[in-house]
Amino acid sequence: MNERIEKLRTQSLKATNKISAERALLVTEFYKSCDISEISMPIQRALSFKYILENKAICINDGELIVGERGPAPKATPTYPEICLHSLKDLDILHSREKVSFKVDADTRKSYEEIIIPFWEGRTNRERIFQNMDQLWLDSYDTGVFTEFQEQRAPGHTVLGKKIYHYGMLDIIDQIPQKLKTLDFFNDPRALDQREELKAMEITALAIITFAERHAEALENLAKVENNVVRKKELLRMAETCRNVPANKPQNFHEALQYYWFVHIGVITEVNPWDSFNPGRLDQHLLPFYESGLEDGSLTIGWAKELLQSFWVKFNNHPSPPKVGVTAEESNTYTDFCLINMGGLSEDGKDAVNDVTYLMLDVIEEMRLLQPSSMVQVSKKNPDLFLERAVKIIKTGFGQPSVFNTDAIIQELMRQGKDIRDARNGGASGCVESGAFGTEAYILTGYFNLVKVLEITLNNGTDPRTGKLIGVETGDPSDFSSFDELLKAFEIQLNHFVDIKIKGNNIIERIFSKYMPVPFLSILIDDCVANGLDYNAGGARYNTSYVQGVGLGSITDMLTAIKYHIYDEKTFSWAELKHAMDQNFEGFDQLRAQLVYDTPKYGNDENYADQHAAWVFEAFYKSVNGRPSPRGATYRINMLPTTCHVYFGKVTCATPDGRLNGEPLSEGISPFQGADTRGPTAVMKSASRFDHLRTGGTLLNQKFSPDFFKDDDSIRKVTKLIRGYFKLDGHHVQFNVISSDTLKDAQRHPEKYQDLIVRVAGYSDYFNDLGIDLQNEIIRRTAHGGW
Amino acid sequence: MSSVLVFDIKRFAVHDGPGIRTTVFFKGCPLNCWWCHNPESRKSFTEEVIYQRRLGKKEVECKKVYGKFMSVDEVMTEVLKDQVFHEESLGGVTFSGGEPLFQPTALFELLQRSKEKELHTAVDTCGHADWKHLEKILPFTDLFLYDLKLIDSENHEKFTGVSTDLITENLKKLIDHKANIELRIPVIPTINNSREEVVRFIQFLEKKVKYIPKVHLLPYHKIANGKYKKLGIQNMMSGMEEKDGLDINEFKYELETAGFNVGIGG
Repeated sequence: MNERIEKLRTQSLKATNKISAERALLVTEFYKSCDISEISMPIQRALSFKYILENKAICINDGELIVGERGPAPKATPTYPEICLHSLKDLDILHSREKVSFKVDADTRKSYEEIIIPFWEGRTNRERIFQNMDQLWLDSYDTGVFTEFQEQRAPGHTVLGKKIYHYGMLDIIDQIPQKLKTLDFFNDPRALDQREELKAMEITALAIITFAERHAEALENLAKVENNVVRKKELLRMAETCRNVPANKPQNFHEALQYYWFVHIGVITEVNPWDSFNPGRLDQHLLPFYESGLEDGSLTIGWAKELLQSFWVKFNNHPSPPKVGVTAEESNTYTDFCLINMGGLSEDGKDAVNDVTYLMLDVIEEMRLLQPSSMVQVSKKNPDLFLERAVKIIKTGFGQPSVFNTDAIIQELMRQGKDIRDARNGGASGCVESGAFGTEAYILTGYFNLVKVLEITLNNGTDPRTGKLIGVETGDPSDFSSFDELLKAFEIQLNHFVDIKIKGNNIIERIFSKYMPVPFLSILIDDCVANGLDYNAGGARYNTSYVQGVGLGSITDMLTAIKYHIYDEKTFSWAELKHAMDQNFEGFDQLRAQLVYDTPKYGNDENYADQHAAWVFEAFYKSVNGRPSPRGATYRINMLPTTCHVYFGKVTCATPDGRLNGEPLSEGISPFQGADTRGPTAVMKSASRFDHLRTGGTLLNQKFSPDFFKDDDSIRKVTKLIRGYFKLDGHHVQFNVISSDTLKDAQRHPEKYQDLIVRVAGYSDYFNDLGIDLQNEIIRRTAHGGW
Repeated sequence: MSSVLVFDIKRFAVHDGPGIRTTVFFKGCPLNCWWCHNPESRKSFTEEVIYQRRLGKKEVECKKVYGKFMSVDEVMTEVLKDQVFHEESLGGVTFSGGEPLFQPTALFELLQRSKEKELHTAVDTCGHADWKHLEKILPFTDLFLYDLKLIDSENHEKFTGVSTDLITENLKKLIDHKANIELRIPVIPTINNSREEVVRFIQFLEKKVKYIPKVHLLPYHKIANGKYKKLGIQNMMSGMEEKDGLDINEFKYELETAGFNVGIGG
């Protein structure tokens, strides 16, 4: 990377994450400035959006090519008091916590104390949500049966399609009067709401144009005082770009990126949507601009790369908005889950890997930034060369790009009723969530703790940690004469808690559609304009709501251990197991060793254990899938945890798989940490025991030692491993290439690393099987030698 | 149907032949190599050992049995679990050990069954076996991973317990029968990594260059020390350092100069 990019990258990496009160103050000012009771909700939201964009500071970082910051400076992170108001205590926690902190300076604290808190206290969406939840919901939430995504953040969870590359905001505004003309005030009770929503959309579209023009002006002013002729020319060119987009459709590669970036800033300023926002199939969108630019000589490959690098830095400047409480526990990261897709298929079903794909992969490898996240979509039609290129980046060990099965994603989306072209235009976003880009509102509603539900079942409806009876009294398991009786009791508890979750979701969904419309996001996602309906109210062409199951590996091992030791082998009785668990296995090492080592485990391609994974999956699927939501969405499941398996573990006592009180649960659909001892193919076979195509995404992590990838032959074998998993309809896999720090931890806690494969000498072996001196040697090798 | 004493079946084996493979390790070996990486695979019977299971910082003592008698069906079921990966990667199954030819009937049946499933088959052998067994498996074996340890017969006998007679004779016969062979030479400090021994290797192999597409040099590592301790077997290599003797890269260079395609590692 050249000096400019190096500088921008360093600036981004070194910037301190801090809270900026700018947005909160502006939104407060706006709400104080007028009598909002006279204004409809969508217009209130649109006008507050406009007010922010008209008044916020314009930040242009030295040397950058793509402009626009959400806050006044990189990583100066705004807050959204109308959604979630931070107390002074929250600010102190954010400021001083060890992980994922946001610094709060004295001025910000003062603004909060004197202006923001007094105005918003008692009128935030978060308070509205909790006031509307019943006791059953509150108890389940408090004990950690599930989390609630929309408690501190607005829905979002969506990705832009190709709209902005074909239409300017002015083109979109042009459609609104036509739509207004068609409203039926004689027969349609929704007509008034539609009119307000459409007007609100128009206000936001004009606001983003104004925002761009403010940048153009600032750039022109900078150009006036710039002494460096090259930069001066650049600044003027950038100003010209901001004059053209987003008002009009982009004319070139640079304008396409700048247009997207303004839209991105708009979406994450309007509210604090989950998964920020995302350009999705960027290599597809950029290709026409790339090709025409190279052809007419206005673009070089080097300049395209530099623009992409500058674009990449912008994402890294924007951490996820500050989270506190359970939201921080379930998603404890600065990452805002903007997942850029590469490869896959074109709308007409052809191999879509192109020159921009490879250029972007180069950028990812070179930039090595936390944000944006990136992934490759791999279809059977994509060449191996593409996958090998991706694996060569993965082996460098920073977890990017992740690898997705395009053919599975398309089938998942089509099963949900999407048109094949919309499905092919889709991909995955967030962690692993399938979506039709540009046409779907697919909203994640919260993590669901499958393990907790079994724990409550084992305690006859009571949560053992709090002693509260929050489930159904399905009986004392020691009275169950068969394993099937336990499964039946679990199903009753599962449906009980899923009912509670869905009821809460439906209320929260109505709260967002009523009080927190997003007219700006709505103009971007089809068919909100055509329907005159907000994104949060079901305006998109497709609407889906997800409940995310967590702890599949753990619950499978728990059920397996119970069946194996209590019903089949009769190693010990219910009473003995219960007693040992109550003592957190203190004094029961032998019994715990049997549970950990002498029990079939999920992840080893053994039917005895894996059948329970399939059974739990079906039970969870049956309980959730197909339920309707008020905005016209359908509930579906996916299987991913972010960091929630750690939180759910914290609130779960010792479990029958030998897991200790408070330890993390298994993550995604991966086996419990260290339970898989037969290598990656066995894990993949276990993980494909249930039907990924009936989910909206599953998450499988695999861990490898860097030494494994030492040559091209190994890289090819890993690509074939991925192809094999995808042939089994696996949705996603991510390879973790391990550092020496992890290997050291593996020495200290070998039972957690039973699946760690290392390349030894002429063969591969499990790290645990090696003597201590060889382990030390390999640690040294990794630390020094790299590849 | 035969049964076979197996000490391990490793899936996702990626260094025992082409593609992604499943390697079946037979238990029982006619050799007693000083440097053996898998001492638990030597004896032709099951062995019980005591070992420590770790639970965090705690250790819990338990018993473990090395070796398991499996029917050919059972082995094939295990092997075919990864069929999708074998097919995708043009991999297959490798029979290793111990010494697979030490249980020739089972090996023959397993190879036959594997070929029925169109798997690529490899046999990792020390070559010390009755030719009639090798001849029988020849039509069902796509690749021989043929170990060659020492050319000097006296030394060979000293360090492995048997002379080179059968081994070199069988290699010649396999070449005559146009078998597909990759040679594996473990490079053992002070035992075979001397200039004199390299010269002997080259003299012995000179005329066979065109029949042996690849030679793998396997570097010695002190990886099995723990296993020897567990099994209560005397470790003849104790005190030996990995770096003693000729550098493996020089070994490689000499063989390459003689015209061989040489790789380090399996």
